[in-house]
Amino acid sequence: MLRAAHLPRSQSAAYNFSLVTKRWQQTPASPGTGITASTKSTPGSHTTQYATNNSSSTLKTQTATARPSFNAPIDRTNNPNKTTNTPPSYIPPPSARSSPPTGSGSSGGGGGRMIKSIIYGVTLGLTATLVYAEYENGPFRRQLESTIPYSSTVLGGLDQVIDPVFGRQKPFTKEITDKIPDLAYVKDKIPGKEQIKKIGEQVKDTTNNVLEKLPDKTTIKKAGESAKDAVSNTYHKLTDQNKAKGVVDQATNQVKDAVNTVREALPDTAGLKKGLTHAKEQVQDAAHTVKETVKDALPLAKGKSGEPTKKIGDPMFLEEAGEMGVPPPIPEDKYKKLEEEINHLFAPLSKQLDDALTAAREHVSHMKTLIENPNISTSDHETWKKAEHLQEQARTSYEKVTDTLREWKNKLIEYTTTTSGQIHPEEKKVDEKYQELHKQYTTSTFVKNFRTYIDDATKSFQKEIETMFPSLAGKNPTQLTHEDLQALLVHAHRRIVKLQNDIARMRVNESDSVKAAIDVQRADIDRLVEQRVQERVAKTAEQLTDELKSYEKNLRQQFDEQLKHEIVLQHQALTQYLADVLSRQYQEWAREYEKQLDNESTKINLNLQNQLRTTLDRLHAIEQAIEANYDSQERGRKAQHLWIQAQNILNKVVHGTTTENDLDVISKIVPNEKFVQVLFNQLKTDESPITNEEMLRERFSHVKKLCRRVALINDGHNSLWNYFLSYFQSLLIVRQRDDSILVDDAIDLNQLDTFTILNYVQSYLEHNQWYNALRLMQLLTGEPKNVAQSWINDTRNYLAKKQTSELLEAYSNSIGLGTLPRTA
Amino acid sequence: MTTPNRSLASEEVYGEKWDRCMTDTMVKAASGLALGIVFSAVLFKRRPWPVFLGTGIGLGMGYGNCQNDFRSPYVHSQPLTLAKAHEHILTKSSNSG
Repeated sequence: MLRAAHLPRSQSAAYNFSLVTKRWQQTPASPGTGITASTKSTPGSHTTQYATNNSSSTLKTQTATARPSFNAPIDRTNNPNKTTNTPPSYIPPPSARSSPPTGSGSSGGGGGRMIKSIIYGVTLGLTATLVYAEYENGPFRRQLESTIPYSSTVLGGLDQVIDPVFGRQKPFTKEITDKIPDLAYVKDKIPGKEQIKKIGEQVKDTTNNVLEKLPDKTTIKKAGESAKDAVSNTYHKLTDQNKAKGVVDQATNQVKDAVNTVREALPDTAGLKKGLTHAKEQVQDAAHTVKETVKDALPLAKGKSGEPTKKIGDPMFLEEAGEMGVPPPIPEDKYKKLEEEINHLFAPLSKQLDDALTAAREHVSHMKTLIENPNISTSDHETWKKAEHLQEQARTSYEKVTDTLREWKNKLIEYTTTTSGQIHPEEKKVDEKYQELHKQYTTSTFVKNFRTYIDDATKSFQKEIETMFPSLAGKNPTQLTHEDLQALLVHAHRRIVKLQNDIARMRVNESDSVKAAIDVQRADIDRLVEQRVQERVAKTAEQLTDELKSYEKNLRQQFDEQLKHEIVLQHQALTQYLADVLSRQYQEWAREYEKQLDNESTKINLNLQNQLRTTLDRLHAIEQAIEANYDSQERGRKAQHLWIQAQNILNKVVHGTTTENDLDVISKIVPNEKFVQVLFNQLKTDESPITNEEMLRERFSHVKKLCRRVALINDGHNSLWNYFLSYFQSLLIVRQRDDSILVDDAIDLNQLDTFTILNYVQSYLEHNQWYNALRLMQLLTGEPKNVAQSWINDTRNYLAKKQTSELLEAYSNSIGLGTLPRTA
Repeated sequence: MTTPNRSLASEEVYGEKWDRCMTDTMVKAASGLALGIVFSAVLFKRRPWPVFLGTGIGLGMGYGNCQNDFRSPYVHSQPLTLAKAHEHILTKSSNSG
């Protein structure tokens, strides 16, 4: 059964032909109504067959009855069933079942027949659906494939047989959807997505580079503004005369700053230094000369003391103090203090001395009186007490005196040492007094013991008397006898003689000793005197020498002073001169310096002004450049946007999905461009239905089919027969792929007919040459033209839209190109 | 689907015409057949010829209708829109220019 299904398509044309021929053969020898009916029915049946094939597949149920009538021309002789089947209106597709399917005849029975018919019906239905699906190759086939599981394989198998035979290509839709549609023509205009991206990125990169190179607009503006403000301020200040002082100060400050730099450059400081050193040297030279002259004059100041000291001969700079010729005198205050102290001490000392002296003298006088008064007795305590008291007084005063005198002596020693031998005038007096005091004190001490002597003497006398004249001892003096008295007298005489001898002896001794002492003393004194004299001499000599020296010194000092004075004067003169010279020089140099400074400062000023001006200019230029850049960037951006949008629209137009949004966006981007407005209006008001190339291609395939089918139909009166004939013709004419049109554009207008036109258009479409395709399509005539009219219109509209969008894109390109940053 | 929008497509017109034709023919033939059967059964004593006649009449009518339909003069709307658009552009450009 299935195999039968393969054949129907292939056999339809051939079989029709065979039918026709057979009909022509059989018409003369065809008796009976069956044949006539069959003959009558065949054209109608063919038409109906064709109609059946063309119409929906609901007719497949009637195949059972139609089949035998189909078999009629072949099996008419041995098929009695045929006569019963009069309505041959439904003819199934021819099948290999044309061979007598049922030789069973009427004896097959109703059941067998029933079964057979059912089987045949089912088979017929299947073949019908398959054939129709193959033929239609569209939604019905797709539906079939989607619903029935293995129908796609079956149909694919059928395709493999049918396609080569009938030259039916795979549906365009499938092929186009698989790969990117061959928009080569469009692609030539539209850069690919990658290219678009690349270009976009390039543009972005370039713009970013430019943006980076140029500092941020706002900052530049700010900097520019601030610089402008500063510059304008300074400029105003420069030119404003009311603020001249402040300007001058500022200028001076600036100038000073500049001047400092200039100063470093100026060599005048070094020159100044040089000048100064030079001056110094000059001064030194002058001083030297002065020195020389002074030295020559020096011999007057030499004096007697030999060669002059160096210090005196150097008049240059009296910075160092001269040497001392004499020892420095006592510092006067010390000297004075000492003197004061001594004086201070002297008074009480003298007083003490006087007191002591008086005390001693008193005592001595008292003692003298006592001694000379033989009547004194030891029992006179009053007087002895007085004496003692006096003696005590004298002693204490003497001790005091000695103390103070010691102090005094120390002071004096100091004084003498400091005054180099000068003796205090009071010293002599004090010495005298002290000597006297000493004398008196010794006598007083000596006399002090008077009483003890007396006591001792009496005691010894008594003792003597007792020893010698014990008998007399106890006697009262009145009781004494003459003998006693004589004894006593003798004793006394003897004693007296002894004593006198003693005295004489002692006197002699004394005189001797005294003499010796005197001698010694004299010698001492002599020595002392000698010593003293020598001392004195030496001292005086020294003094004299000192005096001489001092005199000499004095003289020299005077000379020195004079010299100094002179030198000072000269020095002053010289310094004055030098000062004058220096000041003059300084003034000169200062003047020159000032001049140079002014020069430099004016130069710098001018320089600064120039710089300011140039920077201002540059700023302006930069600002302008930025503005221009910004503008161009804006335009570029707009252009980019526009371009993108145009691309968008183009793509959408190509794919058939434009939206109002896109168009509105465009109007928003560039509200000012007239051209864009025109295009935009055109696009907006284009009310043609939205198509895209795919759809057009699909439709074209359909249109082509139809055109081929109705190729013979022209504008005149056409019958259905003509339709059939043209259909038949379309079946017969095998399309030959003709790509020659692509190479050689020449079309022979005389030899155009539908099929060639369609061929050409097919090849054009395959190569995406829509315009040529459209042009050719318009050359169709007759019924094909009518059939293709709407396609042509739609294509035309589509192409128009595409063209407008392409224009838009091109325009945006042109704008964009103008605003891209120039390189080099 | 059968909105006027669809009928504007010229290639569809042909198909629609054929559809109409077929259905019409079928209907006519069927009705002819039926009438024939009826007549044959009722009036003509089950003779086959009314059936055939009816069918034939039906078919013929259908055929004739078909033919007429196909022959009807085509009045396609010319592509006025484009021309109008052209004029529009021209006028606009002339205005602006």
